[in-house]
Amino acid sequence: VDKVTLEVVRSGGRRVRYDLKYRKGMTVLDALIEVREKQDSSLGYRHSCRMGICGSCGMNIEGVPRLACQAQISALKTEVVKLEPLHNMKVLKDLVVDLAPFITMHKSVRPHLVRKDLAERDHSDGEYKVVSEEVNRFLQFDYCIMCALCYSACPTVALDPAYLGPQAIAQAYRYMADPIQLARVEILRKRLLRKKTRVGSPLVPPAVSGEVKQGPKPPPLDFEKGAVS
Amino acid sequence: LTTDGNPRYRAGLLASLNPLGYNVERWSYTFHRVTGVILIGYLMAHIFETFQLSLGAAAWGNTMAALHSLGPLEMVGLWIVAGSALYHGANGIRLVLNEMFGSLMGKPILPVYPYSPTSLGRNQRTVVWTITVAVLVLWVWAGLYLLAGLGVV
Repeated sequence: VDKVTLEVVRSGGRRVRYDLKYRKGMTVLDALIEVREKQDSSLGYRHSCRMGICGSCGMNIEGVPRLACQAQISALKTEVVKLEPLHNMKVLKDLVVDLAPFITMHKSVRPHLVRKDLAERDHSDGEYKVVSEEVNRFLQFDYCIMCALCYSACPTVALDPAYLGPQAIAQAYRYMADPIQLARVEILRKRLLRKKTRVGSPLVPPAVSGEVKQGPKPPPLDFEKGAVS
Repeated sequence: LTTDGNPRYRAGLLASLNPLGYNVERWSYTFHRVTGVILIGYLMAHIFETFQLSLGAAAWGNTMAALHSLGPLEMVGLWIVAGSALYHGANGIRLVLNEMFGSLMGKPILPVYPYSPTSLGRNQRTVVWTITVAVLVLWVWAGLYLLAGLGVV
């Protein structure tokens, strides 16, 4: 194959074809960049890293959501590559979609560690240790690059916009499976119990023993203010 | 909830039911949904049908006559319902195992290229294909049974 045609569904549903010369190893993103540089500077698409890390260049390639930078044209086995914007999100321009509903769902599961003991959280005086076997339980979910491909592919989101979608659910699991929340309490408890034996007086702090009432709740951190509860 | 305040965009029913280009689990998702709708439709019709009994023998007789007047279509309909019940039931058991007990899902592993979902590992694929083949065999048998009822076989 020495030439390739991109058929892009642009804003308003019109299909526009761009012919270009095929180079060995050319990805769909390479082709799009070439189109914008040499043929049509008005073509809209997102991209950044070109290496499958940033998750910006998600689009429907031959009917399936993929990262354009990871889609080798030779592997698609077609001379006319059909490109559409991602599904389940509103098109802003050409291949650029509005990720707001996706991000809203992501935020709604509070994708960060939530510690019960806020005083300990804000004035942490030690490190959280996790062994690699425990990390493997959630690492594949931690590697999520938020490209929204799964949100676009999800048939349930296609019918029910109130559904969280695969990404948000995976993120919720990622933090539920994280052992840090428990480990921190256990480390603290052991340390304080040791002190107790040494000094001979009950030094277990209110947060751990629950014997004494906690002080006033500290204000939420910056990243928590934006979270949807 | 979009940035300009418009209602959220959805791809809709056709996109939801289109499994082309996806793996076998997406096909089973589509079949599960479609057979579920067929079964709900059948259940409604069945409740309506048996309700006629309470209206007396004449009403029941009329309903039966109306059904039989469909000719072979009645049997085709029953055949589709039988296939739906078989698939929805068998696949439903797989989904209960998946979603309630986490069975067949595989263990979480360190993601290494080329990535493949552990949730669609050997066990899951074996069960999916076993269900497909078993349902097809039973569906053919159900078809023969219904044809025998018509006196064809």
